[in-house]
Amino acid sequence: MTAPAPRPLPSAQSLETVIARAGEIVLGKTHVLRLAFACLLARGHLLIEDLPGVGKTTLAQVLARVLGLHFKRIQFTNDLLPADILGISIYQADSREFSFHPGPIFSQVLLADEINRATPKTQSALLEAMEEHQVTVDGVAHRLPEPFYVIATQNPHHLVGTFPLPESQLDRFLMRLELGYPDHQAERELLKGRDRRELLEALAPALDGKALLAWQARVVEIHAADALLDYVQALVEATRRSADFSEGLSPRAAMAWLRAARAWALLSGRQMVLPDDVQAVAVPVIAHRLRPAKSGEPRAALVERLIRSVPIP
Amino acid sequence: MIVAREKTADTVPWRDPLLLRWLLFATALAAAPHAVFQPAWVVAALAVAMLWRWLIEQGRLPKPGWLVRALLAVLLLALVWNQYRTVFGRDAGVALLLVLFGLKLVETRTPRDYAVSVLLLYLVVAGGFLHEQTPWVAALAVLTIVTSLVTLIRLTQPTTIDARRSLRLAGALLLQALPLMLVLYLFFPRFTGALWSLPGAGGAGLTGMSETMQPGSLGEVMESTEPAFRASFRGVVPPPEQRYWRMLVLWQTDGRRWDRGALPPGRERLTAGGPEYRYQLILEPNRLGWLPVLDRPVETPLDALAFAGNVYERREPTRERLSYELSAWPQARDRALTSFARHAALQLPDTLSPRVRELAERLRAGRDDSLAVAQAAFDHFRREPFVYTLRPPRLGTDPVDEFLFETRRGYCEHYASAFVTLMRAAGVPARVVMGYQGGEHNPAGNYLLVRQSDAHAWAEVWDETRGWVRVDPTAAVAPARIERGSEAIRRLEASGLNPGSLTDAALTRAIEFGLFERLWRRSQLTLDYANLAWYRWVADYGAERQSKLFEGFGWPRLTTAQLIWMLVAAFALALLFTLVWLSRQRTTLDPARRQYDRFCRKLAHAGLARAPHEGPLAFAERCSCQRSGLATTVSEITRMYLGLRYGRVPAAGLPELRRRVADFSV
Repeated sequence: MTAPAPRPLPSAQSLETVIARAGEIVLGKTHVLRLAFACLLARGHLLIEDLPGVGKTTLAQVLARVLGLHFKRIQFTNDLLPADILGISIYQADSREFSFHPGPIFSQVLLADEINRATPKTQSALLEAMEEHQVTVDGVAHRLPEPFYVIATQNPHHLVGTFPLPESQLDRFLMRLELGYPDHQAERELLKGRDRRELLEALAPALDGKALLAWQARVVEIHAADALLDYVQALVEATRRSADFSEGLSPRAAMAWLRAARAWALLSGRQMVLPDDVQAVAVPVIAHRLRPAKSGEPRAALVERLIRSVPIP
Repeated sequence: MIVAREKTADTVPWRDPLLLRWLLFATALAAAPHAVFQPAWVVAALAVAMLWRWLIEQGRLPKPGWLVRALLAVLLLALVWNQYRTVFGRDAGVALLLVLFGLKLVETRTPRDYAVSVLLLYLVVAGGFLHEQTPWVAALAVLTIVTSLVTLIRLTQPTTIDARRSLRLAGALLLQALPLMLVLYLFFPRFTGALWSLPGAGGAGLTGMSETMQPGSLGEVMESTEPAFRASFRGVVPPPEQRYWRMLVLWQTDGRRWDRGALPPGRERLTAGGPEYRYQLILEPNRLGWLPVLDRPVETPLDALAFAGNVYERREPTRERLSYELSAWPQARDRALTSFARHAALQLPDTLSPRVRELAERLRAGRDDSLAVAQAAFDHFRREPFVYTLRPPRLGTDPVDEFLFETRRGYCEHYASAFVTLMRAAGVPARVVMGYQGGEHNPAGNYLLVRQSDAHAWAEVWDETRGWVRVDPTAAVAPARIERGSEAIRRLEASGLNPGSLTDAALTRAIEFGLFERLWRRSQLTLDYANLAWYRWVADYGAERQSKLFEGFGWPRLTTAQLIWMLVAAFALALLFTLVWLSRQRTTLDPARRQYDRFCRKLAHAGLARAPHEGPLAFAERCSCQRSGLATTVSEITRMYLGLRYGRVPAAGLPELRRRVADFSV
């Protein structure tokens, strides 16, 4: 968002610092980084989808580190079991009791690498935890730490050996981002510079969990006027009317969209949501929730066409 | 901002990928009626244009330049001229419209072109009605309008919508238009004459009887199953033996040919009596001006001229369907026979053969009552081996003689001709009546359908006490023809049976229909009824019926001008209400938004138009990029507007915004 931002909040500066620091490692992807931060500010889980080797995992790690969050990573494979994520109750011979050994999900950021390599059973175990922010093992509910994020990466579906996430589960992710290839200059810098992993080790957090929670609370306060809600509703109705998509957006998706737009407005240092904000987060928020009526049409293009078809009220 | 920043307002507007298909489909439907009436090349030219446009859409052919289009226009104009020697008038005009519409189709590209094409399409549809106003043309027109509406809907819908939804929307629009259509249909001024004189269809292709009769002249007519007319009765339908529809009376013969003779126009005075049959008759176009009327008429139908024999002729041949209402009095009595008519009814050819004269004398002998003589002749036909057949042998120079004594095979006109000649030779005034006999009762609409094949000729003889009495010698030979109709006779003929020689039960068996034939006939009759209903309620709704309708409302007779004023006033009123309603809608618009719209309009005049979907920030940035001089003002006004419209505390800065927008100029 480079448009003139009227009177930035004094503390918005710290968010800019976060993004700038992340940008030192993830080169030339400021826009994607901003979207990712907006997603996290809006308490949303993030799905990063792209070809192997364009820096998905690096982005996820950078996000966790720069926000100063406790971070764990699981490499998803097709033999991964739900217990490998959630944890397991083991019988202790000495105390003659079952005691719960928490799995890697008990962290503030869980990086689920290549989520679409796991079987649907394992995927759904994770997705339940994402929705409820708690894990139930042997009838006992265990709260997950706050904030809690899942940042999942996945390869595009047409690669062999994957279990694509169904639409209903994709819905749990607030945004789906695509990184794309770096531009010429960024790639040159990548080639010249030091190894990303080393840099990552050296990356100092610019925020901590508490501060992030405070920011999250402020997202909710961002004002969405009736005129803006009219616009969001018009867009949502257009998805339901359009023959481009087999079905329209759900009310939950509409709420998610508005939340993301609020976060985007906050990142831009504004206290009200503008139609521009709604448009800015449109593709990451709704493209993965809509199924094209005809397969093979790029979703992003369809969403852009949809946006262009709805006048701002 | 990916969306708004990359696609600006001046890119080609988005378009439905199926739009062209719908337009071409609508064109094909609209052109279908013209395919029947226009020369093949006109329709072919339109088809080529459609194909061409399709290939352009597919990217297989380039778009034609203006020179090509101009040359094509000239060529097409020349072709139309070559065909019709004019470019005006109905046929040439419609042809020109069709080919030029094809040309327009080829260059259709922008949304505006599409809208213009659809509007032109409506002209093409209207052109279809100039030829024929039958139900199938109307059905095609409705289909065309639905598809063209779908085209317009898809043109204006912001997103692609599926076919079912667009069809439903088009249907709803059409239904909403229905009341307006009805009002216009009922109240739009009708003109008594034709609004413009359409070129007559001519006599070509029309079957029907001619004004004279000679052996074999009715044969061709009787082969045709085309409807001649339809008659619906108020009340009782007359029994088959009463269904004699007279059309013209033949007085004069040269032994072979019968014609009307030289009797001047004038009505025969009749005393009405007995039962009355009131009916409405809808006459199909034919080659004559003579009007068929049910025996016996007392009044004159329409503006026709009455001739001796209770027959009526209009000045013009019946080129279009005609309807009239009349009463028949089968037992009406004539008052007197003028000496002039008596003379005409006794006229005999000079070449009358002695054999005929001798037979007439034999019939006359000992009988002084003319009806007794007629009865004797009737019996003669029944007694002697006469055969009713639709395929009689050809007759030579003296057909009456040959028929009576040698061939003895023939159908109604042979019998009528021979019978009247005999009567006259016996001194009884007699005449030949031509018309139709019978008619199929259509239970679907309770009317009689009389076909050309029901054409018939019979005789009338003068009785001093009873006046003209109908004697049908055909009934003596083939009663089935009269009681069961011409269709039954045709079936018998096809099976090689002689109708005169069969018993009643055998006859019934011979002409009985199979189940499928019955069903088929039944469906044909229903179709015929639909056709009639269409004519009565739609095509025939003219000035007369309109004023009748108004009388039904208790309104005074309105002139055309008064009607037009009423319609104009009604529409003005409706328009006014719509405007008031629209302006109410407008006042609900947000005041800040209204100022912003004003601001955008000012920018649009300077070539910076905001697309409807463009976010205000994105638009402000685009303006600043293109006109750096405006950057500050634009961003300030935008910021004020956004604060007012989307901010938490609105309304405070509105006067300021109004002032800034008013001061703003590019």
